Amino acid sequence: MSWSSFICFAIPAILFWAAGALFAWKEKRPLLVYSFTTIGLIIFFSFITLMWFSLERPPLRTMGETRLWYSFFLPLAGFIVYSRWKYKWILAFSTLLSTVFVCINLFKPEIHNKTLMPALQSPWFAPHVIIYMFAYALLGAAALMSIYLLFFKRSAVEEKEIELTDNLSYIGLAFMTIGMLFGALWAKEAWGHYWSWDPKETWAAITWFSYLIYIHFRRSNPRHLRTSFVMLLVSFIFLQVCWWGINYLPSAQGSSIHTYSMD
Amino acid sequence: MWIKPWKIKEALFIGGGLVLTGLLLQFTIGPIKWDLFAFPVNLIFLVFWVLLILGSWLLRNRFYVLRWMSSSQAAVGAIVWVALLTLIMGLTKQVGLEAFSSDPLGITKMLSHWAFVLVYMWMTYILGLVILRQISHFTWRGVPFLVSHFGLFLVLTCGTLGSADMQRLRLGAELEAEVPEWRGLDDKNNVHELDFAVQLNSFIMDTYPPKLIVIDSKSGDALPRGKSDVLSLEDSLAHGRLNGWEIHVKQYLPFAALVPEGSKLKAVAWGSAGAIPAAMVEVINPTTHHRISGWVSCGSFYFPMQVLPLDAKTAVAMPQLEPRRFASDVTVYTKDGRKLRDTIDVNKPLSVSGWKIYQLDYDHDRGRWSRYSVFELVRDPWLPYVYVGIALLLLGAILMFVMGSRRK
Repeated sequence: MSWSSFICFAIPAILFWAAGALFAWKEKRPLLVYSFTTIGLIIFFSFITLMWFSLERPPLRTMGETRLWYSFFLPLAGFIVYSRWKYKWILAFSTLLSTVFVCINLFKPEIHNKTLMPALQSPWFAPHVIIYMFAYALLGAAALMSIYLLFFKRSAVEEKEIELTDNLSYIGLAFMTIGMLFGALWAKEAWGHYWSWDPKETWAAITWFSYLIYIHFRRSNPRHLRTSFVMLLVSFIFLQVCWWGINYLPSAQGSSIHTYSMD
Repeated sequence: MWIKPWKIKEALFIGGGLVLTGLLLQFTIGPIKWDLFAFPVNLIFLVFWVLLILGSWLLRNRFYVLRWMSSSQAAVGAIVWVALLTLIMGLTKQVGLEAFSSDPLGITKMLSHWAFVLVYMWMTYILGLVILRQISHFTWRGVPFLVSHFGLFLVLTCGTLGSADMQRLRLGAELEAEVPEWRGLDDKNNVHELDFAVQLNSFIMDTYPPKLIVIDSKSGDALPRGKSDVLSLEDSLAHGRLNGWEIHVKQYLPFAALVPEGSKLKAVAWGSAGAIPAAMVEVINPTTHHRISGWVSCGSFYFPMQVLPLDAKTAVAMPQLEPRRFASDVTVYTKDGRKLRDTIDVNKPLSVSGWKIYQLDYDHDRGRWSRYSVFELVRDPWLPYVYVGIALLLLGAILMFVMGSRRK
């Protein structure tokens, strides 16, 4: 099994996920939603398993291989969230994101041989990054919701819209916490300490606290909706700084051990 | 303001007071010296800290402020200040803990700043009270809340108090050393004797396959600039196009020596220290179809780098090899007479009598032929308690995901 046969697995998997997402969107035939999504997941995971056998190691080493897991986990997480809360759009959202990452793997194949420095070669690498990516996706959706409710919605905000925004932030924060703690456990194995206040870590803390403010504010001042939505947007800006803005931040130049040059 | 029930405004005001106090302390007695918290001071502090929280809890009915401290209004105020000071830390370039702060306010060394530490302590204090409140009104529904708050309390308290007891040393071990190394250096280059010794049996390095690139002969930059073409020698007789030139690898020697042949250098197979990967390359000019050939190598500490000039401005070159893995085969002798042989990889530290030994560095000039290995030794006696906190936070996050923000 090699990357050349990836397309034969990826396209059917995406088609099944898209079909599942379509039925979920139309709120029809829940059985088909579950079975289509599951079939897609099985097809995609077979490719990962076959790669695992042919490489004689788990496919976690290169960026392309990490994206492979991300493309798999996104619809899986979407599936879990859907089965739990029945948000009709979540499967469409996860399928779309997954497709983006599948496409990167299909159209930029040279990355599969990209060298990976020893510090990144750890079983923590994929879960740390994948879980963070999923958290970012959910918090991105929460930020979109707050933009919609702040600037575009003309009528009064409905209870179920607030509940959705809250839930997205809760699950996003839960995933972000897990991703951050996995990062701490990995840092102990790789760098000798679980938290070194490296600029990336400092910004991860800022982002985390910022979402905590939102959650605690919602508990204490449930009626101040506009302030809460602004908080979500500010938090999402912090998140962007933590994710990629840090590469351009003067205070973080040359001192972050989180920057792995891609050249 | 100050009309009961107190709201976030009052909390923000209290936080502002703490920051002001912190600034005054910073100006009068200077930054916090974390070394002073080494055992047993940190343990004594912990006892007083827990007593303070328990005492505040017991007196909550007597004083409104103590009752209010465990409210989410107070929590919001505290986290806002924590986030704000952390934000300042994220926006200013921080100096190391050993250095002096490079600004009059001390914000370039935030971790030792009184204001920073006071607001974090305040948040932790609130956490303590909230945990006690939750325990006294125990419900199963409240378990995720309790678990995550207690986890964060443990991580913050034990992580901070334990930092003074954490030791980080560097230890360099040489190949064929007559005696194993038992001394480590701290970051001020003080020597610390250890109760174990490390012998380096061999240094292991795997590299990624060498690559060929076309460079600007003057600057050494890979071409085309920004998105340089690369030909990997994974497949030993690779061929491809680099910056418009057609490249064919005619022969590849993973371990070679350069010997003179006429006026040029020629690569021959050779297996000793300092051996280099070498590729015999034939390049065809895209317009004139003129052929140029010669040996290309990245060189080593023993042999010079070998490039193949294409014209006055460009040449084919092989960049330095990139390590795929570096590790040390070591034997560790402990004071009580145990002998332990293992391999220390990056990301796979070795645990010996309370210490973790990390692969840190090697001789970069010699690369895979390095004759020494540098290890980092870390001892953190408070780590198990921090890990309990991390485990609880993880559990709390999972429960939070499962339960969502369900409310009555």
